[in-house]
Amino acid sequence: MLEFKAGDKAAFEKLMRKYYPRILNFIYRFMGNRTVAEDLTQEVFMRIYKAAAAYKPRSRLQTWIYVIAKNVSLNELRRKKDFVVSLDDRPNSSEGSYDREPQDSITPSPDAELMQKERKSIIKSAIDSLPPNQRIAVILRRYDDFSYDQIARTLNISNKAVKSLLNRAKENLKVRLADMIKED
Amino acid sequence: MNCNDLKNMISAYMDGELKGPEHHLIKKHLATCRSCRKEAENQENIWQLLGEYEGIDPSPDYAERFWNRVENRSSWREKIRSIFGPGDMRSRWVPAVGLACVLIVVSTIAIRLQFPPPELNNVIASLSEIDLDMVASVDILEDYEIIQEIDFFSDLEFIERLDQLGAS
Repeated sequence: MLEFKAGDKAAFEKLMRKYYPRILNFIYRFMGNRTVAEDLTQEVFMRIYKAAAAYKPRSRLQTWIYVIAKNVSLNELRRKKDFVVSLDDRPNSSEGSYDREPQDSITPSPDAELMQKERKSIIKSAIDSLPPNQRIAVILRRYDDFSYDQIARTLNISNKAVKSLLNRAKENLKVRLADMIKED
Repeated sequence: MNCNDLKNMISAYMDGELKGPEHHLIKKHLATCRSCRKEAENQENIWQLLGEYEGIDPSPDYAERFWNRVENRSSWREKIRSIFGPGDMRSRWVPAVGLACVLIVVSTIAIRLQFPPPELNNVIASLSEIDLDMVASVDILEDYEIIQEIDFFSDLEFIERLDQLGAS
């Protein structure tokens, strides 16, 4: 970041390569929609680009970027609060052509694929049903491997509050995903 | 501490966020309490389950899209900057540009009042005295676009009822 502040465009590209996929997925899991995630991630990096001159290495760069991503996402959520979710945004159709291919080389049968999609949809709905702060805490912990301290700094809350937030989030998820746990 | 108190700490324990005595307390308790062990297993299962929610890859042109956006943003700024010059020069231009804007707006309004648009003049010129009286009586000259769009000379009743139509 300091290199970019000094006018090095390549340094910003390096920063994008490192953080863009992470921020995209953070927003995707929070907002639940690929197109929205793509647009908001662009917005996040635009803000980083504009604010680079004002950046002071007081907080960790990663925290700073995630705080911007969180703010952009929450703003969008507030803006869309009264909007009716369109059919295109429903879980099964929100994935675009860039979704990761299954990791294994065996192509799943149509039934298995359908079942996998359905499971993903249920998990997605369970995450979507969490209040925003719980959702952010879960995403940061589960997918971004953030420590409680890092989550606390991103959400600007105490470490104790993070414990409580994640505890409640897991309770909620347990209720929502109870059937799937029994199945397993 | 009973199970209920400890259950609240299981989540942090499973996340490896408990240190020292608290960590040992939960570890010891889980070894002996079946119910809390079950709770820990459930939490672990849920955590594993969340892993099925795969992420997405950025679209291939994400960087290009970003730099285009930066380019568009900076191009209009640079255009303005090139007009007004750098740094301290800009501060001298600001009052002058402000004044010029005010003058343009005021002049436009004055000219508009003094010289109405030619289309309106043409319409007025084409009216006979009787027509003018009639038009004046229906009180719709303010919006001559409406007049142009309707064939009002062929439908006097319609014109007479325009006020009512407008109000409804």
